[in-house]
Amino acid sequence: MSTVSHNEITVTGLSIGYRHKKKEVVIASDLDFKVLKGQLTAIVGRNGIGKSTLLRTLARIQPALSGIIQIKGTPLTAYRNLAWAKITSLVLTEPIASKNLTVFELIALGRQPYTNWIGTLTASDTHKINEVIDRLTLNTIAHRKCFELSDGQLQRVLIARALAQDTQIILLDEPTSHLDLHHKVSILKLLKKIAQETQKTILFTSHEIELAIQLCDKMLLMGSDGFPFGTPRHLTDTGAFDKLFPHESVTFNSETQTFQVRD
Amino acid sequence: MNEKKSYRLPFFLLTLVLVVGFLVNISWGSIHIPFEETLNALLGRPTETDSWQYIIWNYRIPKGLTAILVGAGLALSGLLMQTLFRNPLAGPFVLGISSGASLGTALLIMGASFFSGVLTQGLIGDISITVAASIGSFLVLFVVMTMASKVRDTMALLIIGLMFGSISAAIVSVLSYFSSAERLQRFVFWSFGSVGDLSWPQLTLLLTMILLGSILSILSIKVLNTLLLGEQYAQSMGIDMKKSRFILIVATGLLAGSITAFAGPIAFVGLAVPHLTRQLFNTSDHRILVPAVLLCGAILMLFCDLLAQLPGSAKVLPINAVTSLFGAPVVIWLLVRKQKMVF
Repeated sequence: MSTVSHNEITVTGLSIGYRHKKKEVVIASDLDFKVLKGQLTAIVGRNGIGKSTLLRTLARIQPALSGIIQIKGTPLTAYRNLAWAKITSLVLTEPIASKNLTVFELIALGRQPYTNWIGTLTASDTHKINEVIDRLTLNTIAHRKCFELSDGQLQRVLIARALAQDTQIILLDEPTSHLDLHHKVSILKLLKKIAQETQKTILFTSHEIELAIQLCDKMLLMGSDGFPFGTPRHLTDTGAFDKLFPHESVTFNSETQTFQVRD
Repeated sequence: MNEKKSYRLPFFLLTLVLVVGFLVNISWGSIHIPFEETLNALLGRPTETDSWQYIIWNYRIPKGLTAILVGAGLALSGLLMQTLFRNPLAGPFVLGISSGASLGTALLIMGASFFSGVLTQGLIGDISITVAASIGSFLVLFVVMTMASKVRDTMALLIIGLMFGSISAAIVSVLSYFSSAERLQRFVFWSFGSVGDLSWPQLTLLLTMILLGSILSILSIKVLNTLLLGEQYAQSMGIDMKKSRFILIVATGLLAGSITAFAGPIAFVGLAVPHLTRQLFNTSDHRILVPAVLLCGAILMLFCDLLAQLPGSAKVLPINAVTSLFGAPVVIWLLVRKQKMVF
């Protein structure tokens, strides 16, 4: 059993959704899970079930409706903006506004929480950026503009930016969308490697359930009746994957760990 | 942002062009004054006739300085809006600042006929036009800012600004319809824009506003760079978006509002100069762009003012027309040549 100090993210009785004036639109409630340091966790489920809403709530982009999110034992809301930026970094699905930045410039923006009022990079900032560029083998494209990159390259660069932000937690919203199978796998393997080597806590939403089963330490399944959380093995054994989608479309084969289309 | 690319040379060249442009601008006008005599007047040495001295110090230098301030300020506010809204079509007037100013001026000039007796023709001087335009632009800005604190979506703010533009344009049309030809002409003349006729005290006030706006912009450089990734990324890097958005809007209001009040609604410069500058410098880094648009805007305005002079004649073309006539082809040429819009 893990001790409290190893719990990076503790979610208790969390309810997520939107608040319109006084009316609450609850998307998902009674979420409970604990994510440990150095683990790669996938959040999966059908469209509209609230994966991205959960991720945005964890990222403090939108407030939780009720329940508690604790990061390293401290409530999410207790962090100040800048302190928070040094704990959690983001990779979003929405395209970045300006693709005229070079790869180096974009990654360098990750150092914003540490730089001075005008954003001057110190020697240690540059060192960190170059370290990230080396780690993700982006050296050959470091001085290219972002509009010249392929989708796969751009995704690696956005992950590099998050790494440059030097946070313990990295949240990614559908990092594998728009990519072909090869690049999907390479991005997920990259995340796995980062989690193992740097002991960072990585959470991402995805539709690549079969890949996630093979690569993730933990998974959170967001289904219509409950949110089972655990290792892929455990979730397979308890038949949780089978309940994820309506049976008229697919069923889960626990032998092969794949989904099969129903006629 | 590192790149070790030096921007010293282009900055040096632009500054040189600005200084030369200013000197040419003030030596050029309806009354011919030789260039050496202009320099003499500038350096405080005696000139052939005292009237030259007077023309240069009380007419041409204020006009040249106004052109610099107007160009620089509009260009900077355009850059702020394009980055805040992440929209290459945004300009200093997307928040309805110029429509507010138009409305204020239109109400003063043409609406006066509705309230005849309250405002007589004699009251409609240049000063009262400035005041009316300021009140109009800041009133609209105030409303937009109040809404900015209510709407979460920055893009909604853009639409709100445009809607205010439509409303004021409609009111102006109605006023124009019922207005006398003489008053309508006056309003049209105001809407042509002008960088002349500012007294030294007015110029000082304009300078103060532009300086304040520029200082706020310089303090926002880091925020502007972070906004290149989008608001959610900016927030995730510790930026307080609500506060930053407010500061950027205030800066734009100070810059574009004061300029419109003193020089009329000068279109185009604010939209085009940021694009021009990005093409020239091929960067999106605001540490380069902020000083660069100030320089480019000032230069463009000086040259447009020069072209508007029509040498050898007392006629002055409307500056608003010249900026577009001269500037638009330049932007088109740059875009076609590079085949790529840099944003």
